[in-house]
Amino acid sequence: MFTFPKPYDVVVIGAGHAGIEAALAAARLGCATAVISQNLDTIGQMSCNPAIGGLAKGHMVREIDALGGAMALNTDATAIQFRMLNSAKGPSVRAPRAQCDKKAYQFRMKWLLEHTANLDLHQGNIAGLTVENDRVTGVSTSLGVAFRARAVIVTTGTFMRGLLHVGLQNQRGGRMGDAMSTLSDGLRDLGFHVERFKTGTPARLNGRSLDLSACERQEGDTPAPRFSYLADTLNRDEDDIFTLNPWGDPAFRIRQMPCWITYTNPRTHDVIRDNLDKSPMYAGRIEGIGPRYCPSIEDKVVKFAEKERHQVFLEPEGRHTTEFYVNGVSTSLPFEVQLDFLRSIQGLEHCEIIRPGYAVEYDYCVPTQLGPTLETKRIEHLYFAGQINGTSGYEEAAGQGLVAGANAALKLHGKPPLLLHRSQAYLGVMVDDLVTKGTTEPYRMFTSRAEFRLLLRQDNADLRLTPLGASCGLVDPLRQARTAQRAADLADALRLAETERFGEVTLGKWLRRPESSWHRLPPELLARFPGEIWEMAEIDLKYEGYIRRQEGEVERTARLEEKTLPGWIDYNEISGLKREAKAKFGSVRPATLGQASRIEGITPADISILLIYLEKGRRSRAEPAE
Amino acid sequence: MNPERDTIAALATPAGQGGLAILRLSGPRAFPIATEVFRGPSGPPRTQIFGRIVREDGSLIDEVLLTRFTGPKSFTGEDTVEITCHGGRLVSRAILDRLLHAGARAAQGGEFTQRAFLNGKLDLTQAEAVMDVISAQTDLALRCAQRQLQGHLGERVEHLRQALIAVLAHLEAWIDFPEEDIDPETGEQLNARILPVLSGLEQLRATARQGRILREGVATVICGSPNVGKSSLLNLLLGFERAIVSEIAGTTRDTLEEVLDLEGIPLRLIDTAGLRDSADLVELQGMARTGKSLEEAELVLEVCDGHLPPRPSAVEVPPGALHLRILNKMDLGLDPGWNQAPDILPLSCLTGEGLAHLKATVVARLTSDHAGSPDAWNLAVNARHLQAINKARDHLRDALDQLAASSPPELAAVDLRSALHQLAEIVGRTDIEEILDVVFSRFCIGK
Repeated sequence: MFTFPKPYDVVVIGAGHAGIEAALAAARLGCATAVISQNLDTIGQMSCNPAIGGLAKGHMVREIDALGGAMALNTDATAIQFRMLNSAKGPSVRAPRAQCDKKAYQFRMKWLLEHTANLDLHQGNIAGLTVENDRVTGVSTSLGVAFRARAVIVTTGTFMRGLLHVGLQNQRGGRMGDAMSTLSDGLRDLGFHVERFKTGTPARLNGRSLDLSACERQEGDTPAPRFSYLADTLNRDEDDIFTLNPWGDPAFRIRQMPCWITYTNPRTHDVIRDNLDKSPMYAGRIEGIGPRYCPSIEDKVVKFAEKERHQVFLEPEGRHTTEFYVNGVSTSLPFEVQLDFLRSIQGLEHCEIIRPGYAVEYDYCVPTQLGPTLETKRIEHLYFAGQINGTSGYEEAAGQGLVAGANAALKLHGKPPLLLHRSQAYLGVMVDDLVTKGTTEPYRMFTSRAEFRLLLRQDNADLRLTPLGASCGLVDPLRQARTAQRAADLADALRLAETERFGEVTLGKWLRRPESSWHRLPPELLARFPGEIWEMAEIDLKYEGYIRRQEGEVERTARLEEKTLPGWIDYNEISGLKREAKAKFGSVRPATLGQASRIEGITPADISILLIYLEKGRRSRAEPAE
Repeated sequence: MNPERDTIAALATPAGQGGLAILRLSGPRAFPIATEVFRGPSGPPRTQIFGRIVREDGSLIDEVLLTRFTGPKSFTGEDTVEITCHGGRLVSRAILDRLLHAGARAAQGGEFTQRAFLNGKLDLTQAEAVMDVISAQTDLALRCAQRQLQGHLGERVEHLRQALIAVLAHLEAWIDFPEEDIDPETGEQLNARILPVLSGLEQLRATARQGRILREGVATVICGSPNVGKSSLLNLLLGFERAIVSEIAGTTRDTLEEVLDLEGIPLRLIDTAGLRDSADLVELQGMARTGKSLEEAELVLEVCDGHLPPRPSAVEVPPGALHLRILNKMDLGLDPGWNQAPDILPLSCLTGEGLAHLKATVVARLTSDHAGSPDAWNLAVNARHLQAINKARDHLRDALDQLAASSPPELAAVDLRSALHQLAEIVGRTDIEEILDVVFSRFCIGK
């Protein structure tokens, strides 16, 4: 075994969406960081659809941006279509979504990593972790190279013991065309509880074989909504071939591309039904559990047999490729059946499959083995982020990467952790759900998971999070100054609303009316603040009652969130607890009373018992009361 | 609440004389304690074993039947022992002392039920029903309590909760999956799904008054001038001589209280001292108590002498109370002056004539604001349930307002969630996963 001469503070295994944000966060915080990937040509690869954002996911991308992450700006730079979803619904459930140029996204991200201070890239397949006294000290590759690290972040996606299915054929691999990783064997040996999930992806089609004129056209929004609060800093010099959308007054210089919509039909469904015996899912070849929100077309046809058609979205994979992603028909049927059913769809009658769809089964580690910083409870300085935690989605992965990377670095620096509450961020909701409840299917974020949804809007992510990011060093001065300016502007706008008259009433009263909109304010008022500020002010005023109500609920639950549970608790010793509660508390080992109360199956009675026990324990230990 | 899961013991049957008495022992040491105090053959759980309870020195306290229940298959969910001994205060007291000496702790009121609840053997409505069953004063009250104990209230609430989860799931699916072809429910469709839940809540709300009547009884004050036959009416209603009756005005100096089971409705009958000008100190005090009783009365039976012409009433009926005037002594003939008076009920305490009509009128008037006679009462929510139901109703109305005003759907979702939370409080649970389960089973999600 050769030991690489340079010792690292943080080693990140994997360079997908989680690994990128983890490495960037650790490097931003001054840690000597290395990213080790099987293949440096697949950094930031979008293994499935070419889209970033959407409901709740778009919210998270804005949050990642507010904390200094790269996903938002990279999307703004490389997307080929932008939309704001749900713009006709309320302000808290609007979210940006973009179709990206996959290759531009990847290569620009690689360029970013290469040009980040404190960050090195290495190609290598990680064979194992080195652990001494329940503390991680490094990693080693399959070629016998050891890297020393004070902290390790594992972001292996679907690669651990990946098994790819097309029909009844299967082969090992982390993704079609890539080798799998055996790292989960080592994790199991270290005592981690490893389980299996499954996910899938549809076929990619040759764009020249499609009759798009037979499909509905779906355009992007103009002006294009952007993800990053710093999108206006996007510029492109001569050598930069990956930034597609430089900023120009007042928006992107962007050439948007349309997506196309078509539908399955009864004939499509017949083909699928007739061939279910060749589906690895229905033939019992797949043991992993798949996501309900992203079912294969086989599942849709079987479980929703009464539906006569399902939507199919044709999404271009980039500006300089003819590949199309066929969204909505994820499948693991044999190649010839895929071709058969796809050709039954309007517009796809002559389609050519470039890459067949497939299902992938992979190992993940049950996420209740993690604390709220995503550090494992078993091995100190070892962190997991992304699909290894049973999640799905680029945005979910990136968010966890940022949380893990920041916390790995903060811990090495001896600084307090970055903990996001459920009332502060979707990222907080996600991490808390994972480490508290675990997950029974690949976890995806929905806005309905956030009990304080009205507070966690995409427009205010920077106001919610940038000051917090700044306090732990994740955010650069420009972003800090921007956010401070926006916060001050919003406060001014709200003050103005209460003093300025508008017609018969105050401006505030007028904006509170359901039919009023800031767009209709006279130019001299509009000129006082940017449109985004007026919009936030209007939201604040219009939904004041509900927003205050949610803020009140946050305050009421804060006491439980602040009450930390000391490490000395032996839950088995609490004789008043029912057996189920003991087992759940023991396995999750909640960090706070609030987290304890959210564990599934835990009742208020269990929490009361725990409170009384704590009080007694504190007295007997003669600790000062909090 | 004592989190130390020690072993508790108590007498399970009413204290006092009786043929048999039952003591109950529950907790991790129930079996060892029983073994220590019991001499008899061993046997399988859930069978009665004959044997003796003995003192530390081996001397006999009583011959008993002992039954072991192995947790979780017991009322409390813990290891439980029931000891049936001979009735009588001394015997049961001695056995309880022996159990306490052997390491058990005297149970506090309701502690067995509390443990059953904590161990998941009962939901909250069922645990509450245990207390109602024990303290039921009439068959009807017992029936309602038993239905609640069997989970009927929990089922009704659960039914409404599931209906709301379905509404919310649709709304959430429409919010979270804008690109799926999920039809937004129109205001009317949502109304049509929320209104039945509201009316279900109203039906439960309507049982609150009967619930209070069944749990606490109807405070019924018998009052009137002296010597019109108030105590005679009390005795007649009860069917036995409870009060001393005499020709002498002012015989009743103090208030007397008895519970009457009137077709299942418990009437707390309160006989009062007659109201008149008097200089007698004791009688004055009695009249002061009459006034106090009247303040809390829900039913006022004012007794008048029907043989005499009507006189202005000295009775101050509290607002909201039901006021009936009983014209006693109809056997002597009614004075024609009463002919036009409202709410009068002629009666003869001497012959019993008019009693059936009086009882029927009282029942009819007490139940007039409910659908159906007491026979149809089978559920009765308590004050805690009522509070949650009221809040749930208010949140649902807010949700309807938001939908009617075409506000953003996430606002109505906040109200629907709050309503769900209140209903969950009644039975004790809720989770976002339940809503997502409905979303994914009803809608084909997955672009």
